[in-house]
Amino acid sequence: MRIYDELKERIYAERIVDLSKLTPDERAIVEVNPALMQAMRENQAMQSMQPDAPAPAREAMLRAAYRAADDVEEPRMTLTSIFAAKRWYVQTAIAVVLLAVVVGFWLIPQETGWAQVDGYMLQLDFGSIADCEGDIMAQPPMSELHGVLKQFKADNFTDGDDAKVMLNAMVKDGNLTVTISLVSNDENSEELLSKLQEALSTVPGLPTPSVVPSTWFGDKDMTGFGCSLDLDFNGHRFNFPDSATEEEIEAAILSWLESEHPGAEAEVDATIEQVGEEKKVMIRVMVKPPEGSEDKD
Amino acid sequence: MRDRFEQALSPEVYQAAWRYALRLSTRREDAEDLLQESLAKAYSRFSQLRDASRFKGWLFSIVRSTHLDRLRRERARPPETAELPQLAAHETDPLTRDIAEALALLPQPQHELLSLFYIDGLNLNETGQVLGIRSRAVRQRLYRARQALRKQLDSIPAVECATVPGGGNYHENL
Repeated sequence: MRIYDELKERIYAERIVDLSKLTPDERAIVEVNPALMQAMRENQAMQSMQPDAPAPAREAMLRAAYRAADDVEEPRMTLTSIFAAKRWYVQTAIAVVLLAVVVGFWLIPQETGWAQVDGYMLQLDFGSIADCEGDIMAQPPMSELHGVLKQFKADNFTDGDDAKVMLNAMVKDGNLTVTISLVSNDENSEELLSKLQEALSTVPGLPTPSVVPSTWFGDKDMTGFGCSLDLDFNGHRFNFPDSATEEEIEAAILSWLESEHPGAEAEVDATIEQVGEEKKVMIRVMVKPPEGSEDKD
Repeated sequence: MRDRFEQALSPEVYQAAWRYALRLSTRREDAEDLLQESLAKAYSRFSQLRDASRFKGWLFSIVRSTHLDRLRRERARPPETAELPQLAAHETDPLTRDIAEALALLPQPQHELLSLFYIDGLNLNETGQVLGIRSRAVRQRLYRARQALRKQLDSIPAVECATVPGGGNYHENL
């Protein structure tokens, strides 16, 4: 399997389009493997996708570019230009200011520009619902679950409270999974969780929920956040808005790691893939604890 | 400096930059403007480029940033004409057509990565230069992007239970 993956990676990274670029051993593997043969065909197809409209004449384009470059002189701020033709005491003052700016940047912690809230996600796996008919949300136990959650919110949250309860039901391959998100930065969130679990226990026919501590990321107002993109890290679940980019996810997780594990060296690599209508997020997190030497992946 | 600039901008690099500008643009005139503006910027910043062997990736990164600047400027303006698909001439081959469709469905970073590497023909270092990542990371991300592309090509709509509102998903902020 390892040889197969390495060979596939080589075909991808070296843009191999025919067997002649492979060693005899590699060729033997590829020839009997339709997926690898297809990978080479895809390389070839993508290489043929270059737009083929003839380029404008290079000389004329260069002349126009030179003219444009002369017309619009880009402002350049080099150290030489900053210090040029200034008296020594002005230069000293500028140097002190620049040093202050550099130190200032160094001292100010980098923020991600995102807000985060904590809470829990409770997942209930209902299994197959292949025989369901009608709107499943209107039928027990979902209808009762819905009512219990509404009541739970009314009993425990006040208007203007930042806390939220979200209900998410997903059917995939005929199996129903329900996720209840309890979002609260309140110190009493554990108590809220216990109350929620107690309320859920009153609904007949509900599977026992699994509980995962979670963190939600979103813009500063935390509007539009939800469980669009959720992923696990060592038993902790992160939730990002659907619009989150790889860079935002990486920055948010790094920020979270810095607050949860101060001093630890961390590296985060996020990849978002759209698979059909689903968005898949793959995160690679490397954390090196400050005092230990073991890597956690 | 013009001599050194024109030496770095070999006919092959010029062609590659043109095709890249063309791929990013919806009309030929836009591609010409994009290339001209990018070359003007590249020329005026040429003295800052210390390693001439990095010229191609550096030029592509200027074309890319110029394109993004133009998009930002034009965002408020409605499009003047319908988009002209640049790849139409190649789409007679079913696999190429499928790949074009699958690429369009990928997240933008993966789409861009695959396009720069396979369609524009940049190498790993140049691709990394344009995207601001290390070549090792480019290699890793290429693998994932290709896997994602393959899944798109293989994708068969999942059979969802139609009884759940929203085509299989239900979400409510209570």
